Amino acid sequence: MSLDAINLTKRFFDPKRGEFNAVDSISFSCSKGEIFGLLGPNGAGKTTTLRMITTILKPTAGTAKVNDFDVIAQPRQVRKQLGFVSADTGLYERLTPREILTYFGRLSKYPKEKLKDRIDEITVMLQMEQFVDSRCEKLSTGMRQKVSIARAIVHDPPVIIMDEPTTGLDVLTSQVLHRFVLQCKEIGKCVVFSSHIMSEAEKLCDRMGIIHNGKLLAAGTLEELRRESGMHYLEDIFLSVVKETGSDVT
Amino acid sequence: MTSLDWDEICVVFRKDLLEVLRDYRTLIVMILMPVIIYPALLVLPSSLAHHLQSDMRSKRYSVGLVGDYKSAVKFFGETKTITITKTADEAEPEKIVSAKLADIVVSFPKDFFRLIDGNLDSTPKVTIFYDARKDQNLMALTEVRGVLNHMRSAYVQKRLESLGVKAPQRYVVNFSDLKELGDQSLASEPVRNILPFLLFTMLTVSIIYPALDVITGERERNTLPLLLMSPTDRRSIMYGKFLVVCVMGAAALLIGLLSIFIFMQIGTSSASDDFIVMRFPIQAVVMCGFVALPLVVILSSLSILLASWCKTFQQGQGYFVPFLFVAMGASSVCSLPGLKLSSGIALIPVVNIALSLKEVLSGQYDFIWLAVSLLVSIGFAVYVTYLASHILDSERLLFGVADSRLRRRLSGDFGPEVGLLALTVFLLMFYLGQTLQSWDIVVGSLITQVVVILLPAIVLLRHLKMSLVKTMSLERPRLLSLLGALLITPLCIVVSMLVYKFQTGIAPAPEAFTTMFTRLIVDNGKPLWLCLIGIAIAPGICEELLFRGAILGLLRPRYKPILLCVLVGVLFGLFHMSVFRVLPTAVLGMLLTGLAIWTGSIWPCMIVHIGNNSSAILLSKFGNEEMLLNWWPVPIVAGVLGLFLLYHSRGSAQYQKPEKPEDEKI
Repeated sequence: MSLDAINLTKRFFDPKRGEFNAVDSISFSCSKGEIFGLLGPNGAGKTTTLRMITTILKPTAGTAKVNDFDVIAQPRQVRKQLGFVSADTGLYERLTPREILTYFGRLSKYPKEKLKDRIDEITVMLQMEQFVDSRCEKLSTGMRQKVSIARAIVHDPPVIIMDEPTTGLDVLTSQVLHRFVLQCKEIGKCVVFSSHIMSEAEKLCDRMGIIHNGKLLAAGTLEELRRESGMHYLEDIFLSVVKETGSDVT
Repeated sequence: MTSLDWDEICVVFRKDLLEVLRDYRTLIVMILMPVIIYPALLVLPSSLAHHLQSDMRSKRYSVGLVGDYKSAVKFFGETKTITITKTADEAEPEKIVSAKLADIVVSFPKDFFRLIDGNLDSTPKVTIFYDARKDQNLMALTEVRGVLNHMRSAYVQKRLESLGVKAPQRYVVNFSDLKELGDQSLASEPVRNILPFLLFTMLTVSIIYPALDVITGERERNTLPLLLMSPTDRRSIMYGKFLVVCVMGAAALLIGLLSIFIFMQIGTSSASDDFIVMRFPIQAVVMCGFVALPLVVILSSLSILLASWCKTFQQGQGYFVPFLFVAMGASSVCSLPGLKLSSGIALIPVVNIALSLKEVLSGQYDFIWLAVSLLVSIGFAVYVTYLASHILDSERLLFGVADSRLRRRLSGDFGPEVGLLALTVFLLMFYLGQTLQSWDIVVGSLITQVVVILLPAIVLLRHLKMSLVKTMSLERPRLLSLLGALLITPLCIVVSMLVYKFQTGIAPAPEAFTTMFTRLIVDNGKPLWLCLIGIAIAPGICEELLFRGAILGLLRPRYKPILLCVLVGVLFGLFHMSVFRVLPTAVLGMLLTGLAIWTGSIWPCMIVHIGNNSSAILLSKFGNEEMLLNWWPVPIVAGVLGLFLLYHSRGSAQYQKPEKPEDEKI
């Protein structure tokens, strides 16, 4: 159970900038029971990288493999392996969390007879009992993010991709999410976690990659990055890596 | 291609149906509108007309009589709708009208009745005064004219008798409604006329909102990426959503038809006369429901396609208006005389439903053709929905990302450029070309060919920095291909003629069209050589350079030959801007495109095109089209020989990529 990004590249066109590499030949891997962090400021290319892995953006060059399934050649098989959580994904406002979970569980071919128990299990795990039958339009940001997480894992995927999942969340909900990420690691999931919050990455990630202007500038465990940069805090490490490679920090 | 997963489709269908039913906007469109607006549009105009008629019948108009009016009083007094409110020997009629003492004033000249009684040479005039700004005064005017006519008849009769002439017996004409025996129509004529238009319009409105909600809404609310990240087949997503829209449309149809039926039962039961008969029995409800279901299916698929192109709900609403106009226009097929479903029109989607409705409502239908129409509609809808499923993944629509223009062009995609070129030519043709040709058919046509047709194509190719010779396939042709083209020309002309004849069999062109065509080509007063240059040679060169040159050259890298023939042929047909010329010219355009692709050269197409146009002129001037058809073995033999030569002269024109401009960033 693993995820491998191999020279992933995505070129975009902007009328002002012309063509540019939003993601420039990025390679990394994440194994079973590991949390890999993609760290970088806004616009670094984290979301584009993750969208390519989830098959909804087509790489301009390179590829990614999820459990040996290729994102370009076998997109449907790749999607079966994945659960995706993001801060900015929407919810079906007119449906209840239970209806949403049933919907995605069925679409992901989770066994019909086990689906109800699975939803009940997730509801307890993410403390959603009080609002699981309320329409999403009435839920708070924290509640909605819990629903997003529940939706991503309802089919029990081996690989979970989280794109800045704590953005906009309060401390308590962030804690619940952090606990959930660590739980995923414990039960052997492969987790790719993107964030621009360095402390969060320090706390959760086994290995991390620093991404800036579409390029992966450094990758390794926190200790390895500390050794290489001679800095202790991840924020300092990030700034030093960016300066070392001559990139602009905007 | 894998088979459809019905379980997935059902899952998507159930979820989207639930979501749509929880949206108040959809419910308003689906329930409230059919319940109120359908019957309102159908029943209210007739009720209004009925009330207006009753009102007209009960209305009394006030009339003033001035001057020598006394003998006229008895005639005005006999009329029930008129009340004489003012009489005066000497008065100003304008003042009576402005003081509202009467709706209308009739002024008789002095000694009027004495003059018309005895003096045959005198022509005294009666003047009527009224305020023309008020509609009711126009009705009063009609009544007054009626009285005056009656009065005149009476005096004519009296004069004739005084002269000893026996007046002829007055004819009594009785009017009576002709009730057709064995009338099988399911609905009365006003209903037959209004209902198809109403169904096309209202169903479009009812269907577009659910379609936008389940697709564009999902995109706008950012839930679509999640759905696309699930391992669901795109076709399952689309067909599930399509079924939801169909169900909503069918519900709106059913509610609408039933509410029309109920309103009509209530509305017409109170009508005491048959001034406007609104008959819509339950059999008509059932049959209309059956026939309009394919319309629901087709409109659902087209709405799904439209919604797939929209990034936002607002954008969708913007596209909706032209879509609605097209739907309204399609319903007008019902009013075209002579069209029958059995003449092959059952195979044309949308049009077949309009005709089905017309035939069913008039009670003259054939179940086989209705079934054909139904099957064609369902097949068309399924295919359109399948096409829409390919748009779901569009990165441009999902995240607003796009390739650069240069990268697109380098990949051989010149779609926007071809669209712009076609639009430019069409607009120029419509505004400038038609003006020039109406000024002088030959010289105007010559200028049009160069300025309107050739120039935009050259300007575009130069702008794209593409080689004119290579893109337009202008390299020196093989002699065999030219000879082959010359030999197949009569066959192409015959095919085009036969298509026109077939079309005329289904939808005959009005006589005005054929006479105008002959007048423009033959009776234009120009010498033959000038006609040939302006109407045959110039179009043969310039139109070929546009269609088989620039447009085909730009589209060739992206599409397969058959699709190219259809696309370029249809554009060529539409370019001729006449409903009655679209089909034959489109078929000719397809043949010419096929010839250009096969030979890799535009020259053989020019030969056939010039030959076709020249034959139209020459046959019209010196014979008739039937001559060529009567001599059919000649075109067949020549055509076979020509095809043989063409088979052995296949070219290999390659698409040329544009050179990379230095000043663009890549």
